[in-house]
Amino acid sequence: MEEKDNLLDSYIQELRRGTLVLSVLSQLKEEEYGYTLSTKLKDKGLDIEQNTLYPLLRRLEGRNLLESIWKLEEARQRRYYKLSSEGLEMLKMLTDEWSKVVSITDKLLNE
Amino acid sequence: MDLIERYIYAVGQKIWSKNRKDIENELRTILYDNLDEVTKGEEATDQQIKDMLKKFGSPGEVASRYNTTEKHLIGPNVYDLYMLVLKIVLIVTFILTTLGIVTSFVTTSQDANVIGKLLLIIPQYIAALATALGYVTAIFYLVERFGTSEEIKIDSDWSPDKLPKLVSEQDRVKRIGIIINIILIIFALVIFNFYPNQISISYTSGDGWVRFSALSEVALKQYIPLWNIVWVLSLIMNAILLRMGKWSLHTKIFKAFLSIFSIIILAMMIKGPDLLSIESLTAAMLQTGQDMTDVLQMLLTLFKTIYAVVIVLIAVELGMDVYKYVKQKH
Repeated sequence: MEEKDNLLDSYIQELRRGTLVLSVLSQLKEEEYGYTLSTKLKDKGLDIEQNTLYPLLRRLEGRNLLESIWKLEEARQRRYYKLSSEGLEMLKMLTDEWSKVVSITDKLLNE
Repeated sequence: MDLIERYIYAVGQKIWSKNRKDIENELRTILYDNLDEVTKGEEATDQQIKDMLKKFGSPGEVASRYNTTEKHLIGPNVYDLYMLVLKIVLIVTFILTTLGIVTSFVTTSQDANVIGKLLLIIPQYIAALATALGYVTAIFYLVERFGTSEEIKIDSDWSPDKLPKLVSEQDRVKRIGIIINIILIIFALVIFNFYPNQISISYTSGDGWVRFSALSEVALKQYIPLWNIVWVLSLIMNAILLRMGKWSLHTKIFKAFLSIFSIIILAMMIKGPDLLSIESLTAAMLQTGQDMTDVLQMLLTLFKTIYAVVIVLIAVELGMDVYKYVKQKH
C-alpha cells in the first residue's frame, strides 16, 4: 500500500511539475516580489515550496522570460519580477498548448 | 539573526553561479519576510528562526536548486556506458592490485618488513583505483566533449531520409571485443606503471624466496612513457568505438596512427636497451651457481625476435585494413 502511495505521489508531483512554469508565468503580468508571489500562489491553491520557486524565477529570468528589478521597501531591498516581452509571448503559447492538453485529456477521460 | 546570516553563508558556499552575491541578498530579504510572518513584527526567538530555516530546507538542498543542472562532466548519452566500463575497470584493477600484493607477500623473504608492507596495502589500493577512475573519467569526458554520435545529431527536423546508412559487417564494432581490449589495456597500464617489479624471477633457497626483478629499470624508463601514450590513446579510441558502434574513417586513421607508433616503439626496443634486466638475471645465476649465459643470450634474442614478429603482424594488419578500405571504396 505504501508503495502504491509513493507511486501516486511521484505521478502527482510529475503532473504538478509540468504546470509550474505556466502557473508562475501567469501570475507575473504585473510586477511581483518573490515572497508575495509565493503566498499569492499558495492562496490560490498552488502550494509551491519557496526553495523551488525562487530558483525557478532565476532560471526564467536567465532565459529572458522574466525581468527583475531591486526596490527598497520597508528598509529592505526586494527583488521584483515581471514578464518580459518574450515571457508574455511564451505565456500565450503555453496557454494555447495547455488548453489543447486539457481538451484532449478531458476527451480521453470522458470516453 | 546570526543564524540567518550563517544559513545564507552556508547556502552561498555551495552556489557556484556568478550571481552568488545577488542570490544571497535575495535570500536574505525572503528569509526575513518569512520570519516577519511568523513573529508578526515581534522580536524573533532562536527557536522560531530555527523552525523557519528548517522549513525552508537544508543549505545544500537550497543551493542545489540554484545551481544549473544542465552542465555535466559525463552526460546522459554516455552515462550508462561510463558506469558499465567503470565497474569493469575497477573490478579488474582491484583483482590485479590484490594479485600484485599477494605475490609480493608470498615471494618476499621472511625477514622483510611485513608490518611496513601491510601499512602500504591501503594506499596501494587507493592509488590504483583512483588512477583507474581518473583514466576512465578523463576518457569519457573527452568522448562526451568531442565524440558526437549520429543519434545526437538527429534533431527536431529529423526525417527518415536522415537515417544513418547500414554499417557494413566489417565496420561494425563488437562490444565484447572492445570491452576485452579496454580490460587488457588497463591491465598493462596498472602492471607496467605500478607493479613492474612483480614481473620477476623467483626461486626458493634455504632462507625462503629470493626474487629478482626481470625487467630493466633503464628500459622501463625509456619505453613505458611511450607505451603509456599508446595505451591511453587506445583507451580513448576504444571508448569512442564503444559509443559510435562502428568504425569511421577517423577511427580507422586513428588506429593506423597507433599501429605506426607501436611499430616505431617496437623498433626502438629492438635497437635500444634490453627489456630483460641482465644484471638481475646474472645475479640470479650467481646465487644459484648455475651458468646460464647461453640461456640468457637466447632469451634476449627471443625477445627481440618477438618484437620483430609483432611488428610484422601489426604491419600486415595495417596493410589489410588499408586494402579493405580501398576495396570498400571501389
